[in-house]
This record gives sequence, structure tokens and C-alpha cells, in this order.
Amino acid sequence: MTLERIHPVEKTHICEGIYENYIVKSSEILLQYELYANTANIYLPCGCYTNFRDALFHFRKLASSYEEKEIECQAFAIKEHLSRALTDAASSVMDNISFIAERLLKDENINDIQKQKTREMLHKMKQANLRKRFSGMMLSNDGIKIEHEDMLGLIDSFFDFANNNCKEEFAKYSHKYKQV
Amino acid sequence: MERRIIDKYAELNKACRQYPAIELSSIEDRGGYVQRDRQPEKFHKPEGYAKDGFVENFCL
Repeated sequence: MTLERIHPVEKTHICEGIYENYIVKSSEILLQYELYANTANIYLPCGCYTNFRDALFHFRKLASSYEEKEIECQAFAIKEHLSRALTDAASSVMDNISFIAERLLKDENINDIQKQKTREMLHKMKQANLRKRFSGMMLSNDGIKIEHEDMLGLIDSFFDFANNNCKEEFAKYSHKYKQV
Repeated sequence: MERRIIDKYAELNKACRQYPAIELSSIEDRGGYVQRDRQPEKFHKPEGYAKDGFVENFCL
């Protein structure tokens, strides 16, 4: 079996596509998660950064490859690592704020209207987390998938709620998350 | 962009900075979703087997 060499123009096109549509876009989304995490004085898991770094190593390999099959393999590896980096960031931040929301529901200082609002957001966050996990298992159809834009929207709405209603409680329970 | 999010939630950021920063670990490091609030169970070697169970029906 002979390995087919890819045409240089086609390879350039693939490299540009991977860089612009995956690496740059993923870095922007990861930055968004990082900014929300840093606002709450927390750091993302190191897995987010090591996966992003590994994607860059695969991109370097892709750029120096000439065989069609090798390029396809490297492109898949890049997408896989970037997906894992973002899923790690999304699920860890979501888990943190879901934990806070659960504690807010038991807090006596939070009134009933705020608890109702918290309960609604917690329901959406848990549903989003499950959909994100299912979509990573390759078992789901497209209908179950959830975009990072939607995940960031949920995080933003919870931060907005906490900022206006219960910032001290949010900070207290966020700190307790590490101790569980 | 960075300043925009922190400025938007400045009061929340101020409240969170009263406590030391925490580093999130992956969910699996924390024992997974289901096991999060539970203590890990110790493994006990099973003694015997269930009457009319799998072992009795298929392994003996």
C-alpha cells in the first residue's frame, strides 16, 4: 500500500481551516471560561491547558506532514484535544456553580423568590451538564448537543443573579466547594 | 474583554476575593458526579454466593 501525498495547496487550506475554525475559536471560548472562573476567584483545572497544549503539538505535526492519512489523523487529534479542554472547563465551572446553587437553596438568608429563581437555574445547569457529557459520548443525536455559547449564557445568568442578590453567600459556598 | 466581565460582576468578585483562591480539579478527580458527596466504600471480599444466583447457576 502506498501513502498518498497531499497537494501543498490543499494542505495549506486544511491547516488554515483547522487553525482558524478550531484552535483560535477554542482559545477564545476557553478564555471566556477562564474569565468567569477568575471573577469568582477560582482557577480552571490544569487539564484544560494541557489539552490545549497537546492540540498545538498535534498542529505542529500536522503542519510538517505530507501524507493524506497522517494529516487526517492529526486533524482529528487536534479536534479531540480541543473538545476535551473546553468540556473540562465547562463541566468544572458548571459543577462549581451547581454546588453553590444547591447550598443557596438550603440557606435561610435567601428568600423564597430568590430560591425559586435559583432552582430554575440549577435545573437548567444540570440539564446542560448532562447534555454536554452525552454529546461527548458519541451516543447522542444532534438534538441533544449543547453549544458552549449556551453554557456560557447559563454561567453568565447565574453570576448576574448572584452579583445582584447573594454575592456573600456565593463566595462562602464557592470556598466550601473545595473542602467537600 | 477581561475587564468587562470582572467590571460587570465587580461586587461578586470583591466578595470572592475575601477567601483564598481555589483551583478546580476535574470532576473525575473529585470522585465523579454520582459519588461526589459520598465516602468511598471499602472493598470486602465476598464470602459465599447468593442462593440460586449467577454463580450457582452458571459457574458450578
